[in-house]
Amino acid sequence: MLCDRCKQREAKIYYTEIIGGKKKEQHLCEECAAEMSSFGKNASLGSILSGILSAAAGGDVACEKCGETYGEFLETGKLGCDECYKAFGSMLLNSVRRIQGSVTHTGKIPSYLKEEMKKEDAEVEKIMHLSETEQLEIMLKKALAEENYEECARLRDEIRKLKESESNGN
Amino acid sequence: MEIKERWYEGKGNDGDVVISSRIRLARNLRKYPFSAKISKEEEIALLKDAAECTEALEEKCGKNFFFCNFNSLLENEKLAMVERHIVSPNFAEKDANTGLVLSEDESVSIMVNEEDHLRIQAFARGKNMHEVYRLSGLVDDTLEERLGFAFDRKYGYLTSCPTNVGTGLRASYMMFLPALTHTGNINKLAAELAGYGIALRGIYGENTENIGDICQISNQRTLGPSEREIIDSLDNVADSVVAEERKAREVLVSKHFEEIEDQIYRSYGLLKYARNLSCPDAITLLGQVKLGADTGILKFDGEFEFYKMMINIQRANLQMLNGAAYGNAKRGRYRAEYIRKNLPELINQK
Ligand SMILES: [Zn+2]
Ligand SMILES: [Zn+2]
Repeated sequence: MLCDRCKQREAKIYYTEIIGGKKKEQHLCEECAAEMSSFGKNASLGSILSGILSAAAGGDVACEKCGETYGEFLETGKLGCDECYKAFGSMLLNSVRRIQGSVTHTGKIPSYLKEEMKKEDAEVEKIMHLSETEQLEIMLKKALAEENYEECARLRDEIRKLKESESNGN
Repeated sequence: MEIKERWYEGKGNDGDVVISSRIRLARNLRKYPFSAKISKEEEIALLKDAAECTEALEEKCGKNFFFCNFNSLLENEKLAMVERHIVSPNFAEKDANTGLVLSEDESVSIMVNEEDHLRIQAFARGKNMHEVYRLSGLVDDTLEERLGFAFDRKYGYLTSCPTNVGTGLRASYMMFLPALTHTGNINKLAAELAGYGIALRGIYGENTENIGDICQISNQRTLGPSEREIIDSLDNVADSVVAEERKAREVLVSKHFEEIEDQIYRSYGLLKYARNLSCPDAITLLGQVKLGADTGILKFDGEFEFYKMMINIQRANLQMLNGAAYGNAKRGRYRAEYIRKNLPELINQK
């Protein structure tokens, strides 16, 4: 297949962009792909990379929850479920940045989450006032509850060392 | 058929230029996959979830609400709702278990199983975005409490398409811009607005023409700025478009008064006496008459309700009013008859 842009060289890179929810597909040669990444108005290096990545990976990054692949997303412009946003990680992040010019929401938060975040803030506030040993002990309890035994061992070590140095200091 | 008063009846702020204000929120439930991966059973479960919210919505918003299975409506009923902006053209054509929650005055509509699980819309006449945002917020909070929306601390509200992620909010003003259109400044304006992240397009969404010198402006980006910031920057742009349009009208009328006056009276005469009118012609002529009313060239004995007339003369709504299906030629006659009956009389004619 010949390159869609120069129509002279062999196309080696399958390049997809999503602009305004509409998919734009191109088969490009290496030279044109490189040029678009340095001069292109709508193409950022990130989009070229995600195009190359998807070509290299054959679009086989899949969301565990709904089964959608990144290739499918490039094809349709639609995500399959809320977990897709995590599953497609930095590739999607680049797309979002290109479309929106930002990747961080600063607006409205659902009320259940507001409550959660308030509790977390209160928790952080509480922990800040505790001694280092007490903080470690809270972390240890949490690690125990999560059955994270490696973390438990590490925390126990740290607590022991802290207590030793405290008693030595006195 | 009796029709209850709809949100667009009466006068609004800056009504000479701004016809209506609209907010659209895209929302998805945590418990179902998005539209691309949702099963038929889940679609039906979602309809039930939405239908069960009508009572709570009535209590919160102080309006009557109805739910219907949209896909089982007649084609003409669907099209009439597209013409009134209650649903999007894509939604009307979608092959899925679509549902609709609608307030009696049609100022709130919720499309169920659109590209996102829910598309909440709120409307007000004239320039009144803060009121529309308040109303859409009430609906959003009521539904969120019962249904639980997909939300990410980094990305915000999660949507099918990343073009809507974050706030999920699209705010738009429908504007009547005859002077800017006639002076050929509309394309320049579109390019200028794009620089502020504001899109200018036809009244039935992307890729539609602006009929009757009407177009809409809306925010392009949904992630990054907060709802308030999106609305404030759209408001700033809208205010300057209103000022530009008024200035252009003044120049137009003062420089070419006799031509403009003649054109406006001719348009009124055609609407008042024609026996057969096509829809695009009628809308263009109604626009001329609105310009006449706004500039004071025409004075009426009653309210000239431009937007209401513009809606009612479109194919499906005209058919709903007359309660029967008919061909093109007959439709043109019904349209002319409707306009003759509803166009107010002139007073103080010179
Ligand atoms: Zn090439
Ligand atoms: Zn998924």
